[in-house]
Amino acid sequence: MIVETIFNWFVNGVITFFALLPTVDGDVFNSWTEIKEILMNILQGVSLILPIEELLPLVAFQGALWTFRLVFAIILRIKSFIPLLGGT
Amino acid sequence: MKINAIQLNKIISVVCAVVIALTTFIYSGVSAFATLGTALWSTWDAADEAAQQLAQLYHKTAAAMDNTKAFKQAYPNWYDLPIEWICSHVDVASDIAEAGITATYLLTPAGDLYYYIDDLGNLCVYERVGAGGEARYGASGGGGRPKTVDTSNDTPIFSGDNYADIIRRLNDQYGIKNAKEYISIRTDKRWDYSKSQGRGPISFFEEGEYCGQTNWLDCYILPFYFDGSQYWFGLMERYYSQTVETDDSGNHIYMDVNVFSVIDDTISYTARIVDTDKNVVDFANYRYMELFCSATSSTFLFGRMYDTYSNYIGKSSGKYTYAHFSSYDTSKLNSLYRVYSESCLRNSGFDEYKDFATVYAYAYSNNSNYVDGLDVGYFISDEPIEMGLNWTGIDPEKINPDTFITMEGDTIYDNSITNYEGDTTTINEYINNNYNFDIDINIEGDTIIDIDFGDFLLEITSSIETAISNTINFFFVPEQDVIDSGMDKIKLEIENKLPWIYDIADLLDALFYDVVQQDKDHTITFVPDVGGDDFSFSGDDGASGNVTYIYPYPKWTINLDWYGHDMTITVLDFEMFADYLPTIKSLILVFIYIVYIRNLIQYLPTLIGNVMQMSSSAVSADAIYDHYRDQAELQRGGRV
Repeated sequence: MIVETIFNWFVNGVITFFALLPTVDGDVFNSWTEIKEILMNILQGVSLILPIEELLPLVAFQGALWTFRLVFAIILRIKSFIPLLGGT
Repeated sequence: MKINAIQLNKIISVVCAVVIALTTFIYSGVSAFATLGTALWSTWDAADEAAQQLAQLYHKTAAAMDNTKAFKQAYPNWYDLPIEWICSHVDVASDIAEAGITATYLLTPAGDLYYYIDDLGNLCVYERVGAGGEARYGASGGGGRPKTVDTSNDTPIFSGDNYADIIRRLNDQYGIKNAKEYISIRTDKRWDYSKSQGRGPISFFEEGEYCGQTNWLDCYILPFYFDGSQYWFGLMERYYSQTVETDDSGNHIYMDVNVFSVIDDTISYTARIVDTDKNVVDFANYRYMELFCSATSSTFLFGRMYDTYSNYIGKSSGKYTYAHFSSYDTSKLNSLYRVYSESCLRNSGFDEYKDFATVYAYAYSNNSNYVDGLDVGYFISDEPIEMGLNWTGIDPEKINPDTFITMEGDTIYDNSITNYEGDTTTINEYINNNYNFDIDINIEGDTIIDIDFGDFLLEITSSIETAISNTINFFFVPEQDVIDSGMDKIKLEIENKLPWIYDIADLLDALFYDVVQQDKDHTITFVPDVGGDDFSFSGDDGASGNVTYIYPYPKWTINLDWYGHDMTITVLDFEMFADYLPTIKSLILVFIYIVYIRNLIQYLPTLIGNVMQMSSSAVSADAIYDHYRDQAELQRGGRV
């Protein structure tokens, strides 16, 4: 019940945030369909040269490393406030 | 009067407004009347395909649920479901639309409980919550939101009145388990024909065959009485032939009759068919017999037999017979008929009290004087007729319509019934308790209440444990449906605000365009200018053949609409490298991995060093002492 309420607050917050945004219609571009086709054409060409799918493990690993560094930095910061555990 | 263009527009607008208003009014009126009716259609054959699909999916899903043998017995096929359960989306309250349900048809086996098929083809259930937000059945998601029906956790639920209808229908259709024939005086044309011929309702015995059936050695006849809602049975009759060989005059065929109770299976009379002079009838000579069932003070089973077919049809030269019971006490048997019939009729609440046998004879002689809904007839079989699922022990009239029933269990008696207060019990207990949830405790005489203190404590502690567990679950464990609903709301809002959000997904997908593309349909959908290699395959389904692997190549083009002419401008074309693309890709891949791993190796010592420093940076007591000693020394102006 409590968790659901908190979750609903979160959901309502997100929805309120989105509601504040103006509706961004695809029609802002006169020829969005054609533009999208061209962009997809280019990206498809890129994907034929760059092995994006095979490079995903690297991306995942890099993400994990960044996450670790972030968590590590937070731990160090917390630790610095604790007496006798070093100030770094 | 001249009408200018503006006035004409106004007139047309008014006419249109009136037409629209009238159409809406009439349409809503039709909908209202449709709601007032009992069903959108009278049969499933006439129902829309969407409604049939809903019933089929509901039946299939409910039958697949755990422990729903009783449900499958009640509804062996999807078209056994009451068509009255189908209602139109427009006929129900607006909260259905507010809940996001757009299905055309809904299925309501219980009030405020709606099953429907969502856009993905899943069977979903929505429960309308009460004014206080309470979900009575607990069938749908938290707070009365729709959810997909789960066969492992959900069970078929029916309202009390619908459940009573189920019982009535079962009593009608499944009260008798194994009868081969069902002859009703009201509906069976054979009866009308026979009656028009002035004879009994069935071709009882012709050419030495029972009931027109070849190879029937026995013929069981179970007369029934139908009071408009339930069938009632008393005694079942078994006819069978005994062939007796004699030296002097050849074979004799004697027909014997057993009469016994289908209720307790204890009363059994055996008799041999005799004529009115109490001489045993030889059916070797009289091969045709029509049967009458009646009850008077002297006879209750009698027939008329004939020697030839022409006499049988012409009803001439017939010879009356009746069952000659060994005890000669037909009045006793007759009274048994009456006892059973009276109790049946009393239980049925039939106001116009009549003797079963009298009704039977009366109805047979002249069914135009029938009371509506009454019926009599026969169940016929060549084997003992068994009472079906024995569900007649439930009186549907006594089931509280404000309850709901979870149809879970092997028999209908195992189903659980719940009232508004949340009291739950089994149908069996409900019946035993006189269709009441209250349990009366009668203590007779000196009753010693013996309480085991250990058990008592155990019960208390387990109750507390359960209460705490329930509380924790209630307060801190979110319902998955709430999470799903919230995420759906966010998704919907994003889609509303950013209608092109899926275009981004398309663009990202384009990044994963594979250099090797298999054409599964054997038709080329992406046609580069280079050929591929043939590849033979064989599938699990036995299919085999050749598939061409296509090697597309990077080719950047811009499609333009040039004054009404579609033009394609090719900016870059790597056709010349198409054959080498896999190799080029592999090389790029290896290169990127090598560069990344090299950089990682370069960085790792720093990372590892930091971690080591963290783990070893705890300060010892000596270091603290040295630190403060140095600080003090510095304050004194000394040197460290």
